Amino acid sequence: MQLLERKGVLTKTNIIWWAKINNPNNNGGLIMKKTRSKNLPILLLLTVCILSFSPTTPAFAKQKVVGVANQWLGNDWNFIADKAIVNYFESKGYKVISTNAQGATNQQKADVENFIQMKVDGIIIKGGEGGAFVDVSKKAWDANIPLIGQQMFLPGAVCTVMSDSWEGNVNMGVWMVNQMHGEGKYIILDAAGWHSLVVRRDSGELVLKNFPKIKRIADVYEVDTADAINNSYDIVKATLRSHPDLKGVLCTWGQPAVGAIKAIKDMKKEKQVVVVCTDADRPVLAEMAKPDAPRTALLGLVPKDQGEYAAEVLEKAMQFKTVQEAKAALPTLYLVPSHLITNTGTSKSFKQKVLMELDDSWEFFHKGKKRPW
Amino acid sequence: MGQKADNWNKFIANYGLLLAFLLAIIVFSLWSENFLRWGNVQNILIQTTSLGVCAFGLTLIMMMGEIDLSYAGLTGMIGAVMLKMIMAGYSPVSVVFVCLAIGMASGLCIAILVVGLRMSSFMVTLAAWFIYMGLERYIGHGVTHWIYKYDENILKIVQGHAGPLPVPIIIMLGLFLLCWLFQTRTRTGQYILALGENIEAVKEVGLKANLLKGGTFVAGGLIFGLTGLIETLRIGGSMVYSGRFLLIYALGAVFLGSAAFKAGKYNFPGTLLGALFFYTIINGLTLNMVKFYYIPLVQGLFLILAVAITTVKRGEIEQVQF
Repeated sequence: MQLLERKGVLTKTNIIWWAKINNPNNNGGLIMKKTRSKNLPILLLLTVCILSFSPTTPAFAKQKVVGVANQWLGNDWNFIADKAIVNYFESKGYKVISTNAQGATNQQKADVENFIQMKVDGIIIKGGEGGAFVDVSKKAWDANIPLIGQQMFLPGAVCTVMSDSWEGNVNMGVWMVNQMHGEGKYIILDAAGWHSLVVRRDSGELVLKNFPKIKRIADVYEVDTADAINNSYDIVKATLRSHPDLKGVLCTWGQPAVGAIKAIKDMKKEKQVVVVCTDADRPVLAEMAKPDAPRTALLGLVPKDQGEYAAEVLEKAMQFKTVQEAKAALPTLYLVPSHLITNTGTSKSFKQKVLMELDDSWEFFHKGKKRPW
Repeated sequence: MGQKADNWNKFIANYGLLLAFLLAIIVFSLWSENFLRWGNVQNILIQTTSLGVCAFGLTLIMMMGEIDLSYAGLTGMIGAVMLKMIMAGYSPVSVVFVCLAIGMASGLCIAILVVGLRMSSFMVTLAAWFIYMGLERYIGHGVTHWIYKYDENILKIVQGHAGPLPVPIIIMLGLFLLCWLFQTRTRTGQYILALGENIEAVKEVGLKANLLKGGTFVAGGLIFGLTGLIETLRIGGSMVYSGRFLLIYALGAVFLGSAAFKAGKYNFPGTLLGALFFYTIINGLTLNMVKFYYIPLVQGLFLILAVAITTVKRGEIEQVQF
């Protein structure tokens, strides 16, 4: 130590750490500087705020409780569907706990686990990465709590409520082929993980792949849900710079279409590039309606119907004594119809879908021939 | 009397966060009959596992005066690698081994850049985060793959029990004990702490500071590899960008923990408490049917309360003078 002192290296800091290193229990004689507290009033105020915060809790045993685990409430579809569920149940005297995982699947899963722990009367998992809930759906089943999967298939669910992304997006593909005249480049804007988005992408491409001159550029672009519009704007603009002959943008959900439309207009390609998307969110419809908007087609899911269907089937399921009975009695899959919307004139763009009874179908297809029944 | 007041102040300063945490538990347990049930306590502990493990790795690195944000990208990348291996039919043992090896390799690369080339750990690990995010998407093609479609057995690592305790709880508490004992009962652990306080002093007393630092980054990387493993198994698949949700919470748990037990110093018991704190609040409020938008509000208020209690009773600001 004397040697170090002569070298001018041995500062007070070094002495402290020399002592501490050689004897971990020695605090090295740290010098404290005390100042007066100004924090006590703030502390008291905060304590009062926390203690006075007392949301009402209903008599748990008397009122039925439903848990709704949302992955995200950041767009119209999610928000409206959630509101529909909450309104449905609250109008019937149920208590609804609606959680929002802010996009975190782990948190959404934790919410479902918490519901199971609370022994709620029913659970709806609304949107998200379905595979993550396979084990908790089984836990709910084992706990005899009816669970509805919305936009996801789960082994432990009594019923699944899905929007008809299959047929709807095949129609989107048909429209896109017509607008592109059977040739040209397109890109896909997607978001990671949701099963229903994968269905939309695959259904649309099912039609496009039949046309060898229609080619997808690059892999699927993942759009960040936290900043979808800006993210998709940047992607489309960059793509148009590198591929000025781009003719189509297929979006698997609504917000990327807003950014895509803005980018197409900025690059003055409104007459060249068409846009397809799903979700009749207000910003998307607003963009489509502008006179300088590119040709756009949209698959309008009906989140209010979806939410109400999910609530209705859950309420029915809760009437049964066991989940097994509920599953046997109720449909396994509720498909909510979707609506086809475009700014290019629907009568020319989309085939009308007609549902028929058996008797009417004979009359329609084989008029004049004797019916065998 | 003066001595008693000083002891009391010291007690509050060191245990203020714990007291706030216990207060929260008391409030929630009085509010909901389900809160203190063993099933619910297990829930909280299981939900905290990924965050807790990640925060332990971060604590180790921050103790020595550096930072490592790579876990935010590494978690997802390890998930993508895991699924690739599972889909290709590799055994669970090799999957675990490779994932941990990737974590260590990440730590080693960071160590070379930070210690060897004297680059800023913040910038290096931030860059690593972005690189890992890109690699994750490259490996998994930006799509979530689910484990249950290929091999349900490996999921038992996080869904199974060892005796009365679920495996994730054992992993988290076991790692906590390991880290805590290492840091408090071994010389190397103390040296790592010394690195954070005064690296020059450590060098002057003849310790190989660079080797210590490098080794700590590797150890931290190993723990982050374990985090990726647990997170992927818990979700049940390679969810794209799964690590980004850990970013703020892990930092929050470590900083919150530094206000507990050894006020102003990063420590493992404090980090564990910090991690438990976040999920306890979420669980308690959900059980009591509080609207979801109150949850971050209450978390923030409790954070301020906890730190304020500690600050007030410590004599407000504690500074080390030289």
